[in-house]
Amino acid sequence: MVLILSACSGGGASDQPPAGKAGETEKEERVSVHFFLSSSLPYGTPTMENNKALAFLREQTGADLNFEIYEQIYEDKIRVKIASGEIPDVFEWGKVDDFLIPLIQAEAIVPFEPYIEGYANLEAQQQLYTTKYQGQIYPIPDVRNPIASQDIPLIRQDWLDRLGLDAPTTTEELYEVAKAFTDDDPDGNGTDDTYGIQIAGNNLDGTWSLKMAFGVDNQWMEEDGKVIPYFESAGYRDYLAYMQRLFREGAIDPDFAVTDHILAQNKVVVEGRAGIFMHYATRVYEFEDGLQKSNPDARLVGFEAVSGPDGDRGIRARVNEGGAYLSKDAAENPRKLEAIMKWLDFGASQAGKVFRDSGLVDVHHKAGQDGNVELNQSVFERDSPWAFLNTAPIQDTSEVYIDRSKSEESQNIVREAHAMNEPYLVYDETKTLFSEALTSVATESDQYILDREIQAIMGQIAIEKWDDVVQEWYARFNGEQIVQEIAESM
Amino acid sequence: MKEAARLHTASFAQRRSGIWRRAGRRLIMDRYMYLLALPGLIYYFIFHYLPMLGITIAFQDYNAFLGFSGSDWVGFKHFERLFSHPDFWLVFRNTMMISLLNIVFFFPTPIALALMLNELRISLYKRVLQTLLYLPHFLSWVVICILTITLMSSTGFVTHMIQWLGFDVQPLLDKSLFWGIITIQSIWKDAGWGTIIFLAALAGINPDLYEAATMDGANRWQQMRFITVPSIMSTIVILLILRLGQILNLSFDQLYIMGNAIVRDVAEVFDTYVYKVGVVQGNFSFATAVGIFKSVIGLLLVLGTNYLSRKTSEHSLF
Repeated sequence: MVLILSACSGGGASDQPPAGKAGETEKEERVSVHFFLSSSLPYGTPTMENNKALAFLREQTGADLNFEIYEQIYEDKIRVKIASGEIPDVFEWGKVDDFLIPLIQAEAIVPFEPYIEGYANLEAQQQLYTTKYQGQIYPIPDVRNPIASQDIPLIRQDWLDRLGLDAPTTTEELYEVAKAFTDDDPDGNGTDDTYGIQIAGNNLDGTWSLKMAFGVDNQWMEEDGKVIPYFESAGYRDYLAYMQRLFREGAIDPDFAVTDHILAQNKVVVEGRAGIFMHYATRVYEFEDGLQKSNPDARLVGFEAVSGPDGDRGIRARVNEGGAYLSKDAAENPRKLEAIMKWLDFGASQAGKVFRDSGLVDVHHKAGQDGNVELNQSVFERDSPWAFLNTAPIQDTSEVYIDRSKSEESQNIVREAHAMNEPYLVYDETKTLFSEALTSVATESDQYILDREIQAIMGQIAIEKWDDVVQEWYARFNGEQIVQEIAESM
Repeated sequence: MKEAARLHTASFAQRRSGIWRRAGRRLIMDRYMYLLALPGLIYYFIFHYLPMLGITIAFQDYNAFLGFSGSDWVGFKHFERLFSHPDFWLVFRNTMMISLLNIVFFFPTPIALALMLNELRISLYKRVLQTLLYLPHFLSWVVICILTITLMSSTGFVTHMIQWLGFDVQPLLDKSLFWGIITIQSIWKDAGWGTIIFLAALAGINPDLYEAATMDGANRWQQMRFITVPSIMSTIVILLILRLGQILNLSFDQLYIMGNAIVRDVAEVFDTYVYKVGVVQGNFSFATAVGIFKSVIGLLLVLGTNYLSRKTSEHSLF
């Protein structure tokens, strides 16, 4: 009889605490949680037997955690697993897409959103959980500091100094400075070989912070109660007119349409032909290794994102779109759920970071002086503690992209560029919205808009004609359907 | 009557078994020859014939996860999508135009080059020249295209030359120049390499013919016209027919890199289009359907020109 009872509680009905000798039996009948995770493992999959890291996590969460971890084949593995009707309690996937939608509709997976409350480490980073479906946070992502943005504005300080100018703060000032960089020979070599702004023609890298200055800050926007793609908004038209003016005045690289992102970067950090570039702050390091080697006076520094005519300003926050998803069965089992939330919360704590980076003290590492640790490499590699966690605390802004092999000055420039732009981060929650109609034409649609945006910047499409471009987009890609599906998943 | 029939059947059976016996005997006699051929046969079977089963996915909504057997059959859906696509005729026109320019300008160049090389007397000079002509073939398209972009950007050497001559154009951003640039690039890269096969054909011409022609008083020009060109004519025709089979296949790398937003209307060809629509979006069925379409057009052209050539001249592929 006792045997049957305990068997029952071990299986489905474990929410009822087993009667009888509570203390001892509870320990034996820990709830079992099944994780399905992917990993780009440098040392191969961890051994599960006698794994001290795993044992520690089991102790930490008070549950019998079981992990299946795969490398490249992960996607196939999880597809087969779920197709066979077996949904792991927690599994990893990218953003909400046509693989997950049927599972959401069948209520086989549920949002994490209602369960985050009360877990301080997760609450602290909740703003970065931007992958939503119908307004609910579904996956808990392995977050990064969102300031690792691709839109950090960078400018040649030595050029500004030579021309007696200040770093621009508005789009109009940016226009003036870019024009001066083009016309007034900022490098003082007597030839007309410079221009203001560098952008790349294959992906228009560096234009998003300008779009945001004109209020275009999401992929999908609402105007007059209707969902529209960003390129249909009024702000986008203002942005195009602004860019057209810059290009006409020669303030943008005249060759940008045939300049891919690598060439574009080189024109700034090696050739020193452009003075303004919106990109990763790490370009400063390449500048140090490139142009500064031949021209030690050259300085590439960050400046604040410029504000537009209505005071809008922003840079795109860098967030991870995928993460850990929760099965309905796990959510309905309080003990399982508690273990899962503890697991996530621990990963997002500072202790979790230490565990991830260096494992357990006296097992995987020895504590050395000044907080340094001495890694026991072979044990660390065998147990691979980091493979068992899927969350992390946010890196401090002053640490993002700090490369200690570069000069102190460059590190400080990166630090400052990040710090001054942190207030302007914009989180786009519409980027991860799903539309089946869009998925089948996504690349074509992106290319269509990209090509026409470039043509418009170069003045080959008049701003008044942009409506035709938008109308053609609707006709060509079944736009009404796409917009409707996006609105439904909002 | 019955007897006769019986006899006939018997003799037929006898004859048939005779054929098999003889075939078997030959197989045993030449067993080492067949053994030698076996790896080649296996290679063709595994790598050329077996994958052809893959064309079935053009008629399915292929899902890598479900496999060939599990994916839904959709008939000609992907072909319909191709033909009804708003850009289909644009892509078709660009592909045909670039291909035709290639055939008109690129195809004869190696023949002319080979004939000229053939007339050179100093063998060292000839060999150095040949090597120089082959070299560009070994550069990748990426290198050649980046070189072109550098030379033809607004600050590039070629652009300066053109502007110095009084034309106000930006070659890379001019739709009317795009096909020309692509053709010149192809010629620069591969014309020298293309001479190899013609030089081989030229080397195969019987020297007695030239000797006899000299005796008859033919000059160099007449020798070329009446001996050299007719002798390599069958090579030219066969290569032309084979080239027509590839009419919808262009160099993906070249057009992908040279294409940009401004010239997209003249630069999009089937290869780049399939890459964007089929491969990047993971729509393998559609990509396969386009592949079949290209092959069918190529096959029709090969059969058609081969037929015409057989009717009008003695040269043909089969």
